[in-house]
Amino acid sequence: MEYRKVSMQSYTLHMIKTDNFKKAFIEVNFRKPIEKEDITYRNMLFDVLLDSNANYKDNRSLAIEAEKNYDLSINSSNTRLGNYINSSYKMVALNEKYTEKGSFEKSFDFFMDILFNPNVKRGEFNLESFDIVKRTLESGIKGLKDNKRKYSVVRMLEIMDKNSPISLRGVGYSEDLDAITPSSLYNYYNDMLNKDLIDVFVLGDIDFQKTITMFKDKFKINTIKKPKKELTCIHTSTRALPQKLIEFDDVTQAKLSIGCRLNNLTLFESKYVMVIYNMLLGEGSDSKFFKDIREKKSLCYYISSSYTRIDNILVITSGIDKGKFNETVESVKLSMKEMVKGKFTDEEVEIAKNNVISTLESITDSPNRIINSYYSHEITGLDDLETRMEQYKKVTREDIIAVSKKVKIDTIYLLSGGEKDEKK
Amino acid sequence: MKKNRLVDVGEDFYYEKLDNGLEIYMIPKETFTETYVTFTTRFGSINTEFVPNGKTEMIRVHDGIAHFLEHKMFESEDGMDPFDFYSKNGASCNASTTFNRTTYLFLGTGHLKENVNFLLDYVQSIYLTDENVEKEKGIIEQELNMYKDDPFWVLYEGILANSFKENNVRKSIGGEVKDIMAITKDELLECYNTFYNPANMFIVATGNFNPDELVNIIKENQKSKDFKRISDIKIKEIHEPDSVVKEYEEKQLSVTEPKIAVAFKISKEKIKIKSEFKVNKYLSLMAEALFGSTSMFFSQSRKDNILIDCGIEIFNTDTHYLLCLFIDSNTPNKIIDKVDEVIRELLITEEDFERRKKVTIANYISSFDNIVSTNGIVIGNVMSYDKYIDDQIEQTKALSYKEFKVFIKSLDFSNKSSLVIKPVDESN
Repeated sequence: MEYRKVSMQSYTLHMIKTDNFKKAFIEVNFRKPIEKEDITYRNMLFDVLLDSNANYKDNRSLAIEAEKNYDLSINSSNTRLGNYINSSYKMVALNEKYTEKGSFEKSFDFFMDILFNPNVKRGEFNLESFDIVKRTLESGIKGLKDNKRKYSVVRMLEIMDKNSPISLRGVGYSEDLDAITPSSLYNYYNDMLNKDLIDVFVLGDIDFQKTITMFKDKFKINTIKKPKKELTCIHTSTRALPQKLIEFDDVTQAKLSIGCRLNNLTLFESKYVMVIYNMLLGEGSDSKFFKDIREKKSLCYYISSSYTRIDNILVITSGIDKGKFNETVESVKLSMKEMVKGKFTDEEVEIAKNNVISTLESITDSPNRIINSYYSHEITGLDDLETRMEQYKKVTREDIIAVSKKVKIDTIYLLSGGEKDEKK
Repeated sequence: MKKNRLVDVGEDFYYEKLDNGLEIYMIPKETFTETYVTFTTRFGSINTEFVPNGKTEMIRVHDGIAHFLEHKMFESEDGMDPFDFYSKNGASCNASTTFNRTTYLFLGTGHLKENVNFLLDYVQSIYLTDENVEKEKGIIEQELNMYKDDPFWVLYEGILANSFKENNVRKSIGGEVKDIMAITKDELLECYNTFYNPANMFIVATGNFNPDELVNIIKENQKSKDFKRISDIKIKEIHEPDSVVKEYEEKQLSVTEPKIAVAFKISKEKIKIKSEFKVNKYLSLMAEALFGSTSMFFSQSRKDNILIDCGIEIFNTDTHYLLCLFIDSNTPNKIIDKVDEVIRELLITEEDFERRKKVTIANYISSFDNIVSTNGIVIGNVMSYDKYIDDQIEQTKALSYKEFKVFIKSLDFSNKSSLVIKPVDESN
């Protein structure tokens, strides 16, 4: 595997040459500091661009063209990265070895056509596409409530810090959707092309020089911009005691979400020690949570913690019987106290470190993980792969105890079966 | 050991069958870092009436027992359970139960011999006590409750229940809480002794390993174990009628918009084409061309504001296929009418057909980039055809539009079931 990074002035081109896969990948990442309405605009924009374009006037003809190109896959996702929103447009195509000569460039042209040649007249997106997409998004926004497990986490984050980007809903908002028009969406699209920071990744059995030329000729972006804002979220809440909220919905199983603040982590702690702490506490099926709360006390089927470095938080989720709410929360607190007291063995620490390192070693098996790893290195300050492996080895038991004292439960939320809303 | 070159994808396929009946399917990928090994028994949630190994009388066990047993396999007498063991080796492990099988697996880097031996040893031994059986009940109850809150799952189980009268696919894989509470240690043991025999099991390995080395490890491991050789397991035969249980049903649930399932139950008896692989391919080509993202149905219905999204699934049972559509729409009646219209007309052009063939082949080639997908395809093949179809690209290329047209025209779509889940009426 060979990596090369080239500045193309208005964007950065990252190329990864490898013959390990039967497919080639192109990923174009746009990012900007997040505002609430960006989410709905971008969800809408992506679906509209993929519904039709200037040459393929409806969704069917566009989808048929992709299938003709050996089931070329083009998709996009919007994710919040700390204080930024990241819109990623991806193309995945079979290598020419399995198709025909010239198919990669043909696929690339089609991808560029979708990005830069939208179905627009007189400064407005085509109304038919616009309406179809709007209805689908509306359904998705409302449908968040159908996914009780996810909804519980979203509600908890909203309550935890309503001024922070962590409280924003990834599905978007009905009121923002109502405000979008075919012409405002077109203005937004132009803004995104001209003002966003852009990183492009190309992975596959590629030729570096040819790839550069292809992008120079066809990737029509030429405005230069600079990062405006820190990526990592900082939380202002200084709640001394955790807040607790129970809301009611039609659920068979109550969904518990707990948000934890992480106070004043050092860089080494946030990059390395917290990852190991999280593994020991609740990430896997040999964690404290799994062993003590599921296996010993039979309180749940799933319970886990997840750590998001750039959000600076730790989130714990579980599905429980509503009558066991207090018992489960007390058990969570107990597990966390045991971490502070150092009730874990050196062997467990070594195992956790080895697990993290072997996960890093296997990154090369997955194109998406390879790209993510380079992108995180580029924008979130994550160290390169080799450094990461070395640094994890340095994490000690004392480091973990020290970091466990900085983890504070901030918000405890339960989506419960029952009648009315009540606050505790 | 048998070795075949998969010319079209540039990979090798290996097969070995041991004396005790255990089959091993392998597609190595030595440029990858990880190894993925699955160990499957042909025992799933539908197998609840059978003659236990060494006995003569047919018995009936509780629903959900295959899944319960899966949970209990993770228990170990010496305290070193699979989670601990694989974690120690930087690997992960898991298991899953479906209607017709239970699969145990690990995904890891290096430690091949240890990892494989542990997989074989923990699945081929059992440690049950009355206490550890009781303890599991609370955990499984929470797992079942978790699924009840998932509207898609309710729709999925609902349409199967409304389509099948006798086949156990009409019941939840995990069973109901009352079944789980009644399961005993002895019942679990009876199932284990019958179905967890090497002659009823197979291994699929993908990723980084050497096939000779792997087969030697497995052979060496099995040599020291003595399994009571079983004759074929006798499972109660079922007589599934062609008609569905309920042609139409409405349910209310905590959903924001209606969710609809439409199913067509198609008898296998009347299908003339001998190759089941071919029939499966024709059916999925037909379903995709009629209802997939490039269909007129999908495109026009979205324009007409009667469809938000549509997913397709084809269930394959011993006696019937069930072609299922899972639909999001605010106008359930209109979209069901539209589905009927499409089925009446069955308009698929030769161009659609050839394009969908190309997509099928491209998807198959793509799946080799992921050792978990490759493994899943092999498991699916073995469950459906008792072998891995190593020339599927050739066979797919050979599918003919003429034969396809005759085939789809011959299908009987008259046995249909529709289930509509509507939001709870707030005014009540």
